[in-house]
Amino acid sequence: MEEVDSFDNKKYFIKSSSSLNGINDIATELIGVAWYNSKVHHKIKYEISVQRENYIKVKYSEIKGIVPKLSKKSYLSNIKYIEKVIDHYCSVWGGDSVKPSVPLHGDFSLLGNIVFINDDIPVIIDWEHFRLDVAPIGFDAMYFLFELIWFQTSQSNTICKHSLIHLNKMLIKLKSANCLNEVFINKPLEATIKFMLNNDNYWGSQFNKMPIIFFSKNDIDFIDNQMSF
Amino acid sequence: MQSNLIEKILNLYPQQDENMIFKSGREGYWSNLSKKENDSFKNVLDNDGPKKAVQSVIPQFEDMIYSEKREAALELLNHEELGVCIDFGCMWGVLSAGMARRGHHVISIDQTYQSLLFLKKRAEEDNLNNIHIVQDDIKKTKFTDIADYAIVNGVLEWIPILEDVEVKKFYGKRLHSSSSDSKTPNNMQEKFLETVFASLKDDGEMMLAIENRHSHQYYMGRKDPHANLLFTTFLPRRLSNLISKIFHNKPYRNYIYSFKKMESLVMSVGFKECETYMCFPDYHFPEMILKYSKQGILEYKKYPNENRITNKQKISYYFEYFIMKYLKLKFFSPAIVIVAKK
Repeated sequence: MEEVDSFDNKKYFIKSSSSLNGINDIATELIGVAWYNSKVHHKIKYEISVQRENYIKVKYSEIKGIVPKLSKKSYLSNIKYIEKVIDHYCSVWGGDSVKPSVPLHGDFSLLGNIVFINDDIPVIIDWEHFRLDVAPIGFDAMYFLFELIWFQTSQSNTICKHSLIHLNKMLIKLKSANCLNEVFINKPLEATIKFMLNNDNYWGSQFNKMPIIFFSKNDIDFIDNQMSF
Repeated sequence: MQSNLIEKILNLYPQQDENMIFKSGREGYWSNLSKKENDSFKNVLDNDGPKKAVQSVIPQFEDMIYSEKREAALELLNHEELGVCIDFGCMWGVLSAGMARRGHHVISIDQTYQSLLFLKKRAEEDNLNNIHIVQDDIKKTKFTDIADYAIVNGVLEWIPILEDVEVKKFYGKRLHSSSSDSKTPNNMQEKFLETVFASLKDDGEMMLAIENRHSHQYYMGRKDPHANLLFTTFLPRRLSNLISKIFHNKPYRNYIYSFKKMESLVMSVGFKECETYMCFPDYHFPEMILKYSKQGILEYKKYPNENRITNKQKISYYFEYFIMKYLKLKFFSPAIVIVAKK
């Protein structure tokens, strides 16, 4: 049994699998968590309670905190969290900014995959799509921002200009922290989707569930034309 | 461990056939497939192997046989120590394979040879050499103090049925019944649980899954999944019996229970501890398994279900959501899973 820090056995959730794909996903996630833990102060605590040829069972200690919910104003109602996440992204991924490719979380979503300890400190969870050094820096952050725009747009049937103004500010922040690869400079949304389409195998069967690939061509052009940084 | 276990099985079942299946001499038939369908399936199974045979001949059962979701309730057992598991009424061996992949040695028992043959081929295909297959009537097995785990999944309610069952035909109207055992269904089920209890070592665990007699679905107009009649699950047994005799000309014998009665039946055979869970939307493909307690029902939340297609199914789900989320009526949850310790 492997112990990571002081595993809190009082409240935990379990990920287990007896299928090859499931075992691979869990093993991938553990690599992602190990990478993330090496970068942050608030670590994800877990223990591998069973590991056999055809079976794995991992207990994750519960992270107490807020998980933002989906609303019609997904973007505007979550600005406080968005800014914290972008700062967190820069602090975690920023050290790798000189590398041509950086680690990929692959499902960097505010809606379910980020917990805010004390409503303040973000902890990124669900690392099963993790890949080491495959993405241009900024990809996960771009995905994160555009997914919120997508949810807001799909619920209200209109693209909110206030959200785009704020999004532009976030891109400037990423750029000034050297956390935005130049491929995203001209047409950030198009480049984000293009990266996903060119690497759909990273997401496997989940690819068709990633919201931002469903942006229409018109929406992509409109959003990209609003960006100037 | 393996040779020791095989020796113990051989003590009870000295005969093994050419497929290495231990034989008791007792045979029977319970299957979702008719005997004719099973014959055609066997031909493809011999030539193409189990996975391809399922995909080409019985694709409607692929999820039932291969979906990992089917194994969810196995996670309620403690797998940290390796042990011996008996899967009573294993059929195609979904849970046997699940336990074997978790590393345990599994004794898979069923009366239906065709199902066991499939399991044998599947174990070979999946390189699971820790599954030992026995053809026997599960009511008559004589294993004693051998198992760390026992699986009784969707089996207890069929114990009182003595005749061969081809599920589709069983649901239909029949003019002549051959279920003539004088014992009540309840007594037969209790006796079977005693057999399961005897097979376990001290501290061994039984995982039992069954429909809840008072599932909200039956009050909402879903037919009894075994008798194929309205309301027979929850009506008084005598009335259900009368309805079954009128409409199907056979007695009502597929007894299922409420949470409390199920616990009490399990405890009556000698188990010392019993943890009870509610299962949504059913125990075959569970999306959510919660402790049957005041705290457990607080954790009820929306869950996806690809099989929720018709308006009736959707209304039933929203009704469930309302009564579980807001009224906390756990008594009406769809299915029961019990983990009992000897």
